[in-house]
Amino acid sequence: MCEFCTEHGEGKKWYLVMNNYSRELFAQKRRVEFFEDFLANVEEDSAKGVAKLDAIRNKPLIYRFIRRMSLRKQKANHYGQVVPIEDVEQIIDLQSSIVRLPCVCRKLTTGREARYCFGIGVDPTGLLGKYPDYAHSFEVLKREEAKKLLRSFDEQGLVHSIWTFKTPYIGGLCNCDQDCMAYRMTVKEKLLPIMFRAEYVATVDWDLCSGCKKCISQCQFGAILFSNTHKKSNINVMQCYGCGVCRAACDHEAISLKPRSDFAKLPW
Amino acid sequence: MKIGINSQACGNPLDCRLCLDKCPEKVFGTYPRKGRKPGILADDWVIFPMFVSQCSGCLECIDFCPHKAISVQK
Repeated sequence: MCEFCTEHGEGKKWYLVMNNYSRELFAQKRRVEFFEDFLANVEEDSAKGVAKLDAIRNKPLIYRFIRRMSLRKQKANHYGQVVPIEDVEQIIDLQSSIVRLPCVCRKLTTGREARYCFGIGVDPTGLLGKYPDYAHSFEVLKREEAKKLLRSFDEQGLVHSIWTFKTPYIGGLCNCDQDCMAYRMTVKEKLLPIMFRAEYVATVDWDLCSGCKKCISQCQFGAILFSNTHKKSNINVMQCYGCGVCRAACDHEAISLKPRSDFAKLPW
Repeated sequence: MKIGINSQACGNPLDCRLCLDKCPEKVFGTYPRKGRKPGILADDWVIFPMFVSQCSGCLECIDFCPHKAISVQK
């Protein structure tokens, strides 16, 4: 169980607790203002914040201090967790409103519009309509449509993650690849972790693995290795984020997810 | 490594984006200036070097930039 599960999970996974999506929670703690400010300024604020942190990277003392402060702030305001498709479907079932949005990260890192993000439970207040850049390509989805889309994203190898707006309120569902800021920050640059790994890790059943290597190209985290001696794939569980997208590429159902808590030493 | 961008020379970041695409380390980012969202006009946008510590110094951005707006110093 991750840190948020023990704090906000009521004994189960925190993202499956109905209360963390409730309208009442959204109305508390100036969340609406936070959300509005987020939509209005997120690109510039995150770009500048990242650049500042990056600039002090080679000064270990200051970097360690600032990093710890930023991590605390990030965990209180906007933190994410990777979630495999089965759990995403359970999350979708809890929602009354789902809207599809252009991805903030990809706009920032590639300058292109990619509509891979979902706002969950935040639309009924009409908040997003105020921002023309979100509203013009804004699309209200039914649960079934959302699930179908998410399945197709899973097959494309996009990693699903949920995002808080002032933890524990969950308001965003992202489908990330390597252009995502969370990926850059947490996985590639290792500047500041801003998302948890999933509650699972993937493992390969060697009896079923044919050694076709398809899963290797699907993994965004470079966690799958290939043993040429055995002609089988192998997952480096220390690097695995438990997103489960590798399973979509496997024709032999050789990859399965196991609870991360079964492994005593794995990082979150 | 220091990366400077001459925003006056950089004409139209939103349509050009060559530096974003060509940089192998994906150092650059782009955003609309505060208060200029959604950024319909070209000069609402700025190119910004985000992950400067990742820069390998290949200098491809200098070659690719059609306006010669990028400068890299060691």
